[in-house]
Amino acid sequence: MATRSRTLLFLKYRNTFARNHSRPLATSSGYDAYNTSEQAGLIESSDHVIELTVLPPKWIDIVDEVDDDIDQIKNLLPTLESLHKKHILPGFDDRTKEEKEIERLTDEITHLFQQCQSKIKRIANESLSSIAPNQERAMSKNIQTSLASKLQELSSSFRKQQASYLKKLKGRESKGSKFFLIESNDSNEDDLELGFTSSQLARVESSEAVISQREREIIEIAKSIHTIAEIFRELQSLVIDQGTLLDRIDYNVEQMSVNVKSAVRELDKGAQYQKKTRNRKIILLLLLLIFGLIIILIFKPR
Amino acid sequence: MDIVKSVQNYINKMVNEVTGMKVLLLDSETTPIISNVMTQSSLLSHETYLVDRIDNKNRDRMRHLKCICFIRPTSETIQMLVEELRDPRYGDYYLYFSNTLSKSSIERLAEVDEHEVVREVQEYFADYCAINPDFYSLNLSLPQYRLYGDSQNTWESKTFQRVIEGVLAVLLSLKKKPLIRYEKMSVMAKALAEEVHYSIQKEGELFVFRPTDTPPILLILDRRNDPVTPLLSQWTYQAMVHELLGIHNGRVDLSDVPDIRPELKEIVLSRDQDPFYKKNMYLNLGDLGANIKSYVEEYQAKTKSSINIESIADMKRFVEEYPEFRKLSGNVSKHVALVSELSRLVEKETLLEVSELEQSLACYGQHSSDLKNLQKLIANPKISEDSKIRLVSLYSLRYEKSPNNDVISLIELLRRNGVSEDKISFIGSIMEFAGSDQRQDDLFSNESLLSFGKNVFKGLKGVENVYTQHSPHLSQTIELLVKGKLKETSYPFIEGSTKDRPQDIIIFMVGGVTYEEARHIAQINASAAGFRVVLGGTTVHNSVSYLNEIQDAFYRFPSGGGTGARLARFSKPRNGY
Repeated sequence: MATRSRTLLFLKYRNTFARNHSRPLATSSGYDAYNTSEQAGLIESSDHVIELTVLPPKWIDIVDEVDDDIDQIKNLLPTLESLHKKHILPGFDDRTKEEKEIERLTDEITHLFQQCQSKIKRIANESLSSIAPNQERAMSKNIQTSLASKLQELSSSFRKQQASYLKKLKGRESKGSKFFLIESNDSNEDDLELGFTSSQLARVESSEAVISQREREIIEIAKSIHTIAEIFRELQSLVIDQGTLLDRIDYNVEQMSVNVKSAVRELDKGAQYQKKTRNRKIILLLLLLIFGLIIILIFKPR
Repeated sequence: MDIVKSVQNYINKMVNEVTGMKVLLLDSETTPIISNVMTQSSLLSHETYLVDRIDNKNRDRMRHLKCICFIRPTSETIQMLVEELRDPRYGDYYLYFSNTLSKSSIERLAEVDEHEVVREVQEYFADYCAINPDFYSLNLSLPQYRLYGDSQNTWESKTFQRVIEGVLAVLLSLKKKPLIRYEKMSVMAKALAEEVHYSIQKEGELFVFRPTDTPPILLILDRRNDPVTPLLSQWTYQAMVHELLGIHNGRVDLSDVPDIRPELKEIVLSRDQDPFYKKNMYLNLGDLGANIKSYVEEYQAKTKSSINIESIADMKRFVEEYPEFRKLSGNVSKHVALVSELSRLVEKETLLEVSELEQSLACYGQHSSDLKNLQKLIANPKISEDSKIRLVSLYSLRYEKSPNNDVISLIELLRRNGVSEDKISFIGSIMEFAGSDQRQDDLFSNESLLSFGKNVFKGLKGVENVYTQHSPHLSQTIELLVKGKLKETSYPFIEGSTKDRPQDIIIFMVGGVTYEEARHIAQINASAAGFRVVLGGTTVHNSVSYLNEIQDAFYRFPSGGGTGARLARFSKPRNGY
């Protein structure tokens, strides 16, 4: 892994050349005008061409947004995991606040995922609708793929996390109900004929409340898993499968030149068509002329 | 000493050092170098959103992108770069060259960089195709690169330059400053050894590495010392695919296969992304068949479980396993298609019989039975012409010195069975090219009594598999080298010498290597015998490409005297014929 930097030597050479040529920079092209705009006058008097291509296409901003969202998800995931762990541990405190927090976080993450997905879709739409050059379109496709795979990876880890939490919750519930069952059996033996005491009734009621709350939680989580799964499926169409030809760099490069070639061919064809239509227009014009002359001929002798 | 890793590290360093959205520009030679070790998705994950060739003139102007150029410095590519920098299409340029860059080129680039867009100029020595972690190739194949100049002992100058640079890049990327040994009989190996030595001296500052206890060895060999290995049929997965279908930069073209599904017309074989291939690439067809069966069964079990989705839990599990499942299904169908094509070809060309005779010719040599079998196979219309030519070539290499050999009548027999003159002439070429006068070692172990005894002993031990008993001459050479017994008279040092057992051995084979040798190297490395070997050559040969290269060379040699003169050797009995 030896490397050698030639940058310094290059810069040295470049500087000597720059001095020799008395900095041809300022007058060379529009790009430099862009660079040195601070020195330039406000109103361009010369016939500089203002290069619009310096500006990135509009959808690049969306890419940044998606990147931010992904970062946010990455930050939230560990928080959620630690909350999950804390919640699974048995304890006697009031847990409603914690549960609320978990719910909120889960919602937020799910929402972020949805948002990312719709943004990726928007990139696709924007880059298609604009009359973008061929290569720019290729690039936007590559960007979508890359974002989709990133999101895919995140969502799969999120789903796994949710699933394991769900499993643990369920496990605790069944353990809990077993515990309740045994207890009620005991009491049944003791107070067979006496019916439930008020304290027992209260206990049953409270355990029912706990159970129904668990149920609700589980449904919540199952729902979020479902939404994420949907997103997952949609993204899958964008992601490149590993080990396929599509994942080869040389194949993609070849495709690019094939695309360019076919585009050139189509342009040629278009030009041909245009030529043809021009011919046709002239013929039509001549025909019209002849027709007009005939009409004149018909009406003139009178 | 993992060359795949070192090329990957170079490229990762490139795409990591430049942050933000970028485009990667390659040339015709760096494209395969990069494609062999990286994937499109790994580039995408480093924000490299566009990959293109520098010779593509129709690139759009995208000033908001940074540009990484990874380019092999040749006069053509420097010219393209000059044009690119004169009218830059991208914002910033980071130039990485795959080899040493001459000062005049740097000066030229600096002169045209009027827009001051170049930010970095670096030399990253990833200048060879890393195929396996211990196996590389320079991909110098016809028609782009010719190996031989105007005789079988001279280099083509363009190829020679490329080879020197390639070998230097291997050494630099592994950070080795070796002692150089070469094969004495081979003029080309000697020329290369001297030139590499000279370049190491010249670029002294680059070759300053931490000294090791025992110096690494660069061993330069010549294919002509072992013409047998590339002529044999292969039975291990990687070697077999290359022999029968051809692997080109990790891609296999299956478009000629009958009833192939469109998505399998061209497939990729990559150790990195395909665990099944990694596990089975060195196994023979029999074991491979068993493994592929269990692979399919594993797949079936997964399909079944995914079919009966009844509960939410099933569904959840399915979605979780879905990407895994998709990957598996693609991979299974790929390998099944490949292996079934291999076995179809084996069946069609009766390769089992051919291979049995080949192995007997290469390893034992019982003249009368070999001759009888050979005559029988030549008469068999099912066997392809190429196989017949290979068999007769092996026969004539084996029994060249034996007084009662019957090459002339065999050639007559080939003619009678309708094999074209063109192909028959190859037998003469290879004898001229790599006959026993051209070889320095006792390839068939039949020249001295001692090695003859060894051979008999080997025969008594019995063999596991009749079709893979041949072991290339190379493994013998390595064995002698690590024991310190490789004779200095036949493998001299360029400068200095050592009696120590070497720890790191880098081998370069002039005239191409084979996957059979790659497999042996992998086995040697896996046995962890306290030393590591990396093997490479000008190209990776199968029998067809080997025959083509020799044939192409001989048609051009003025001294060869044309096909007729070479065949004359067989038509009139001469020294022992």
